[in-house]
Amino acid sequence: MNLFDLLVSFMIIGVGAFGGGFTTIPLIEHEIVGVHGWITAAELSELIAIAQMTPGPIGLNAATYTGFRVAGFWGAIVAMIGYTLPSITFCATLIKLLAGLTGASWMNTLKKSVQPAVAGLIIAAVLMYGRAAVADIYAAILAVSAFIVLIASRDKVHPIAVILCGGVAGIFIYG
Amino acid sequence: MNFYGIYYIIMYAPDEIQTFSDSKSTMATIPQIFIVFFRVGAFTLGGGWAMVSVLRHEIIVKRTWISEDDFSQELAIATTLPGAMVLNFSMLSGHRMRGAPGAAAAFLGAVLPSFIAITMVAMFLFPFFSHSTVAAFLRGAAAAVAGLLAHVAFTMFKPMMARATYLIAAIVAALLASIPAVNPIFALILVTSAVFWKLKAEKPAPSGVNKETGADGGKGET
Repeated sequence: MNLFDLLVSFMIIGVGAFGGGFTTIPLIEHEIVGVHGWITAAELSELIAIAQMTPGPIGLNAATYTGFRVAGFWGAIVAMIGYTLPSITFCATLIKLLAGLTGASWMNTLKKSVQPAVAGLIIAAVLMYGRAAVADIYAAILAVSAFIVLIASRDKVHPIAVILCGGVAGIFIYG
Repeated sequence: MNFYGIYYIIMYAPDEIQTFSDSKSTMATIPQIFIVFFRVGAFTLGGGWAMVSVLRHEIIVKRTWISEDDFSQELAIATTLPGAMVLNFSMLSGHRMRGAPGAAAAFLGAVLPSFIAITMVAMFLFPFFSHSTVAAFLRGAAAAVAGLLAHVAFTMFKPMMARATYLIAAIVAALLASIPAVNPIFALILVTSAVFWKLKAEKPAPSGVNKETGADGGKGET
């Protein structure tokens, strides 16, 4: 195994990972566990747990941690670069393509057309996340309280403060 | 250790930098973009959508760096492109705010905390996660993140209730994307095309000049 193979593997994962987080993990399972056997299936479940428990995007966390497990610090760097390179390339290309279209009237219509779909996707994301995170009545109370605090404060309370308060409450409830 | 001082530095440090520039300016500087994205990356548990919720608070609500319309558009494109959605979003919104250097600052800001956290965990901190207090903290934080996501979904859904087309489209998109077998990108493209076609059909003449401002999320059209 060399770092170049690792880079190529993570570029393949980066191209395939539409939607990020939860599409990345099956791809890592296929490419890193199945095709190359660089980590074991047991290590995979450890990595899923860690990717969710550390701050930042879950897909990127999973990729970086896998890289570290496979080839140490440089493995982590190579995996991170490989995973983000397709994303950077696509964004840069799209920005170039869109630059010529900003004034067009149909672009303004498109901007409005995209809003309901985005709102719908976020609702779907909440439902999916909520099913996993809200497992008992205490978690439900915490989630509802966080929602009420954010609504009632009219965006005066910082969301990170809400996450940290939830964590502190978690220590009292589950600790 | 002054606890409030630490809280203040974490939450509000870039605002101090901002007050020295033009008072009403909504133009972000490159270091400000980096600091804001770094902070969101470093403190947001719960993955990409949680980061988007916090970023919305940082760059639309607290600072007016980009408009609601641009935010939605960037988010839609970010979901459609491969890779981590929130990293795509960081690059696109960074570019919107300050061109290519803005995109680089936002991207590095979002990536670095994750990289640092993961290498720290892999090298030293792995036993830390099995500690019961840490596990309890993470469970509570995850529940709060669910509330946070619900809040952002609510604020983005609310303007949709102004028009039947938007309302139906949002509900259809939510239902489609909730089906596990359906790729969310499919839901996004299908629903966006349908709404685009509907809006085009409604518009009698191409007099889109007064819609240039477009910050009302479509409510102004009757």
